[in-house]
Amino acid sequence: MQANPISVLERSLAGVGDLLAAEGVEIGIVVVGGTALNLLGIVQRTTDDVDVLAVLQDRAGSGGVTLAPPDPLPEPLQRAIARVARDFQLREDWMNTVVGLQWQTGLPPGLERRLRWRRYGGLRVGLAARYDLIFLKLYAAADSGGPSSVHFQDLLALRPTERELQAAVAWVRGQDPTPEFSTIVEQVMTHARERLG
Amino acid sequence: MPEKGLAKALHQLREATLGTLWRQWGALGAAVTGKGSVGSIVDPEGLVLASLSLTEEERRLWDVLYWWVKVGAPLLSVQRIKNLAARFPEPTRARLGAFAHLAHREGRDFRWRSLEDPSPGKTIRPRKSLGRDPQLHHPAALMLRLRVGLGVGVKADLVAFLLATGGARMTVKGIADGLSYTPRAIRRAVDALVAARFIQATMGTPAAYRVDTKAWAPLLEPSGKPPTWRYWSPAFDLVADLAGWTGGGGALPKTSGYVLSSRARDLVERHRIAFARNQIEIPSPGDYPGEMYLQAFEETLRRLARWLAESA
Repeated sequence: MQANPISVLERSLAGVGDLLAAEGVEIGIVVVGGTALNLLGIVQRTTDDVDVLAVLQDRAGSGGVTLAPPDPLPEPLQRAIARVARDFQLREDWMNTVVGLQWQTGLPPGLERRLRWRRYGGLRVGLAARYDLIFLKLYAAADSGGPSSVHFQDLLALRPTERELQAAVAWVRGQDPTPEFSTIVEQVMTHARERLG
Repeated sequence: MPEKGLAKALHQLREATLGTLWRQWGALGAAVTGKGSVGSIVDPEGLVLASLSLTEEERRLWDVLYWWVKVGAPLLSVQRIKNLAARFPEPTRARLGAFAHLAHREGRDFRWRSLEDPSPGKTIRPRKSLGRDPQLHHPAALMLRLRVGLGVGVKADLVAFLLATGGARMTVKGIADGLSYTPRAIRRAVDALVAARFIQATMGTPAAYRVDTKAWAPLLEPSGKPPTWRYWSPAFDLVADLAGWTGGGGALPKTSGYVLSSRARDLVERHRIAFARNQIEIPSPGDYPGEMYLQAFEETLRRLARWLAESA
């Protein structure tokens, strides 16, 4: 019997949170991708990859949320990730910051205000909202493999409205203004509209 | 509740260790009560370090350590206890400073100056009389007996090690690992002992060494058989580490089950040689993800406790 993908993910995140709490440390991260989709209940597919888009910056008394690029992750978090990888036999990079490259071209505007926060001991996890995931998944679908990619399937699972798709397209085109990329985005949009009816 | 079973297993291990320590001190002539006989060799430095490690749990151990300062400290190898202590946790090393202070001041043994801590800070009860002289004719005291005859140093320990491993062929590395001397010191000692025909070198690569136990049989009266070698020090080191984990009261650290399991995994990884060298089969941590390892760890502690009880 295969373990519930959500419980596997939460078990790993709880492990990191417990280790941070044992060190008396609290760290916040922003998570996108399959983990966010799973934890928001939008899809249910096996993934042990946690894509960290940002870390929460400590701004005592500022009230709002300030995010920063995730690379390098804080040392206590790196230690906890390595320990959880050993203890649960996960890949060493099960929690990684590859998606943090997105900071080079910009995040969906207002993403930090729409985060859904969850707490696992000393780990605070901000899940990107459905609206922002539509932006990121449309970009990922166009950037890697088009309609055949898992990102396209995720985009469909997010069930975006036409208005949401339009807003996402405007942002995605800004990520790569070349005519070639614009054509791919159009193809993805056409397929998405067909599939979403 | 896995923590409950774990606390019980920790208690059993501590009792088994204390039982082993008392039996070994008894075999060396201390007037103490320890149930059961001793069939394996006593590692004197390992015994002192293990006793120092558990003085919080069993304060009476200071009595026997004080007795040993008075009657047996000159038979200890300061270099070897220094080598072994490096692997023990900090509280044990700190108490070794107190022991060295006693050995220097009370035992008039100046070799201990380099280890001594003049402010031991712990209550030492030097009043109780635990016997007069060490008993060196007990088979378990072979290592000390050879030190009396050949002098405190690598050569006496090397002969004791080769006798207690039953005439098996041992490489320089194997001997160095077993005795916690440097391979260089062992190399010099085996060359001298081979030249003196105390031990034999076998042809081949790597070179190996053995003793003819029959030739040494008259020394090993009354049975004519040497005591069995046990790798006590790595096992005692693990128990000392665990004592630091739980504190004198034996309570588990207050943390989540997962964090506890992760620390248990660290401990077993760090002390792998205690199990490997003594051939104690334990559950493999890799087979028990996350918190599931707690139950396997509990079983690991039980097996170690059983080995301690059966191996003394």
